[in-house]
Amino acid sequence: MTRMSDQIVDQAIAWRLRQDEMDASGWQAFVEWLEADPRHAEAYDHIALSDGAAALQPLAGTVGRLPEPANDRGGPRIHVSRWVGGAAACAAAVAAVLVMRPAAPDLYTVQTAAGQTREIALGEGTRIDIAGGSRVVLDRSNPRQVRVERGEALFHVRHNAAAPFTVRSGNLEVQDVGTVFDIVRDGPRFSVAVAEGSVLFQPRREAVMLGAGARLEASEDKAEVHVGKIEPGLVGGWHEGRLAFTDTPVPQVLSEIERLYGTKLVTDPGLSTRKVTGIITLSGEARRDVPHIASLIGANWRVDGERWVLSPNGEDQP
Amino acid sequence: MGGLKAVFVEQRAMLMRLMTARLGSAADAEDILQDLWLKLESLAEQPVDNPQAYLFRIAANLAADRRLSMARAVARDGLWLSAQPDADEFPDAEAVLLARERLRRVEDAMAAMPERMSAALRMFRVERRPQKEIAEALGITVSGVEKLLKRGYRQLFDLDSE
Repeated sequence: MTRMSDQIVDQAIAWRLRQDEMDASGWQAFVEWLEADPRHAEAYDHIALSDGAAALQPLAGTVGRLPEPANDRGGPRIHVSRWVGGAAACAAAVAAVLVMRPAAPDLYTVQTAAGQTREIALGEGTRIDIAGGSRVVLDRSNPRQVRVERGEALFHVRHNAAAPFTVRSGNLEVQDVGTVFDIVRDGPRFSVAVAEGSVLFQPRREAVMLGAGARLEASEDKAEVHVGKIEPGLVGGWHEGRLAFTDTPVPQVLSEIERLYGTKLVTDPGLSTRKVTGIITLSGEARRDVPHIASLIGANWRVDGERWVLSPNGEDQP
Repeated sequence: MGGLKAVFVEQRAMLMRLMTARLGSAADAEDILQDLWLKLESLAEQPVDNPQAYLFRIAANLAADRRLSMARAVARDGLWLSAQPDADEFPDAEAVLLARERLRRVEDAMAAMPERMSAALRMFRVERRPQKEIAEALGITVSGVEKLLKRGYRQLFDLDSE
């Protein structure tokens, strides 16, 4: 950073402190000050950035008073105050859990074959729709703790601040904040997409808040996390036979379809680098679905016994 | 046209200057004013005390959010990366991660401050309470709060120039 004169820093701080009370002429004077010297804008930016970071901070020290509604005095921090509120509420919820003494776990496993689905009602308006090819571990003595070992599940969770609903998968963890969300586990790959409400990813560590329409992908082996967005209506779309892909490699698309519907799909190496973006509606009936899938990824198809073979357009015509 | 939109049109030139000064780019400024215009669709219904001041505050907050996500894009470390170009739309999700190291230093500095100074800073910066309310909470005058905040901000600012 440019070395700032004390005077400029003091002025920048004074502008920051006045901001909530400024009228139109105050704002005009502020703009003129910002424009007068690039160091003014730099000093002010520095202060505003550190404030922004502070507002995002999930600190226990600030729990107990939720921010005012966004449109109240002080100006709306549209994303930010919502976040602080959630974090404070969650910190409170986490604290509550630490005090409770959970009963000894009484685990049971629900497993679905490819193409099979199961619905598990956990009471109090909470249920899990488990997709094909999945393995989910539940606990009879604590129905609000679930482990997704592989596959996919759509969660409808009735929020209860005193007993947060937690989904674990490998070393990753998601905690609901009143929510409909979908979780996929495929080897090291993990993703969570939020349809309604929000969830906390890694609530005891980074505590990343994901709201409706957010989709987080993580890979445990590569320690990578990507956050993107998804149309909330498409979250858990598999439940209605609707799958959405964004730049998804073809092999991953096919393995997802095989898991969900039990349709054995193989592909030529020529297709494996191709990526798919789009929404596809499937019936679960391979005869109807495979041509549809082939057209989405720009491939030809043929039947080979139990398997369906996809190949790049222009070769291997059926 | 709703009241806020009318004020937007009337103040557009000044808002544009504010955004340009804050973001350092006319294109980004245009972009964010567009966002602001869209947001007004949902805000226009509510009666507002001083619509000009209100509009400038929203604009300044949008600029601060944008700067935060720009800063993140630069400082993002290898562990947490965002491949999606529109990940900026989720500042909540990432900001925490990036800012953690810096926040720790800020927290240390605040812990070392006199109690009232750090309490005032926390109420103002994190909880966004008006200075008058902070004065009541701490049992001191508004100008006392202002002094505490000025000195506190100064110490935080100096953390980064060391």
